[in-house]
Amino acid sequence: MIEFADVTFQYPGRGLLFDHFNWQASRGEIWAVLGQSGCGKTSLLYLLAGLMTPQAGEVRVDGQAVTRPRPHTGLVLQDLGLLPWETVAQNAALGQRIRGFYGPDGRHAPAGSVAQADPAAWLERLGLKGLEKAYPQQLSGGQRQRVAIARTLLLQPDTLLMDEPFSALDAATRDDLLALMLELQREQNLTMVVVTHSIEDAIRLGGQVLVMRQPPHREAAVVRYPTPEDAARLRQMLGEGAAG
Amino acid sequence: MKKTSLALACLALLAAWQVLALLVARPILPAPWTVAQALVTGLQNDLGGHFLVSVWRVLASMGLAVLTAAPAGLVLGQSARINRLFSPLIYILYPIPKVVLVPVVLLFLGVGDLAKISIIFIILFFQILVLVRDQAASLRPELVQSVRSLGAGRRALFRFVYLPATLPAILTALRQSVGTAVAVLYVAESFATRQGLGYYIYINGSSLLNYPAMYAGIVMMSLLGLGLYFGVDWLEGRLCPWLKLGQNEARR
Repeated sequence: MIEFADVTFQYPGRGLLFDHFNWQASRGEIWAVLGQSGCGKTSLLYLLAGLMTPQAGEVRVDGQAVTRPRPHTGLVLQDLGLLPWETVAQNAALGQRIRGFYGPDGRHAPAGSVAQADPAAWLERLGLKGLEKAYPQQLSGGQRQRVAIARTLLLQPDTLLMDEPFSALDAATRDDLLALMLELQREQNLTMVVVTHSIEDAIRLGGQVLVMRQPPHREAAVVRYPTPEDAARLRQMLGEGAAG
Repeated sequence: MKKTSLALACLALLAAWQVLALLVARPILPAPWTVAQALVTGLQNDLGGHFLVSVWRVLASMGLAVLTAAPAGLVLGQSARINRLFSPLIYILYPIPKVVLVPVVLLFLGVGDLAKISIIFIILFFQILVLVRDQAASLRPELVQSVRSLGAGRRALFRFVYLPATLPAILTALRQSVGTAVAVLYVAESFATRQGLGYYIYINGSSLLNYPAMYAGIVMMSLLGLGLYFGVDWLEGRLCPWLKLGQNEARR
């Protein structure tokens, strides 16, 4: 379970982003975090990933306060997370190599021995077979996203956080990736939180939507399982000129 | 660069040299063939030894500079606070032409290898430090965050992100500095020593008036510079294959 408990957060020298903010998500749920750029949705993802910590309150996963990146939370960032100097196979196995670098210390990697997922099998599953020796710059946007997803799933996460995973993709690739994400979410029973500025994508994810307007955020504005008919309502919640 | 283009460029240079030698028609500019003969004679005697001494000095300086400047640049590039502390100092020291320090270094470190290695080291150190620092500082925060989210702490970030990301900067700094390094090597070897190509060129040119031998020394020094330049290129191809990829795609 994910929990934002009375979270207050601001960047130094800037206004409050979250002001005693509360929000909860249960295990295995799909959530879209919808908002315009600059509203703080990526910051919410970073807080959840343990890359930032709130000034007050707590972000918790399964009852544990998140104060640093958690081994079972995977984060996929918008087309920027792959190392340009490593091949697809090396990028996909990066998380495993980092775990190997530290050993099972319980901080950077899960304590005790954990059966390692097979990178080749995941690359094949995600349609990347034959591209193992390619570099990220040789891939399409969709393929890069798939490598980033493979890299995260190889660490066997229970929570998957994604920042604008579909924004740089054409419609066909986006549909393809969305279907794959939903399939993987069901199969692995992942708690999935997807940040998006697109109302259409938020609805197509088929989960619940956390609508983020202008900061500071106090109350969680939630729309449960919206259908295409709810698009106008979501647009209204976001305010005039919302991206669609 | 294609090998045939390089060979053609060499031939053009040799032809221009030959024509110039014919036009000047004085002992101070011998023809390439005369110099080639002097080169062979020199290599049969002591030229090879002088060459190896120069190679050792320049390679030792490069190794020392990489081993000290690259970690320092990485630390500065990764920590804005430490960088703020040191950047005024670097700002002042970086533009000083280090070659003017040759007499000072000789005064302090004497006339041995250490002084010569130190002079080239100082030049390379600042080049590498600044380029590595800027490269490490310009890494996209999203890249660092995404690797942190995989569990990487400071040590793993150094190993998997900062070090490989700054490797091209180290090689670029070396490539940019090779010419200066060899030039300074010549200055440093042209006095207070009896070993090295600088000495060989100087003694043959100014005392022995053996101009073909002097040119043979110049050829060897040029080969040293070229060899280092190509060596860095080769290393880049081996260690940073993704860069070639970018260049090829940019050319398309």
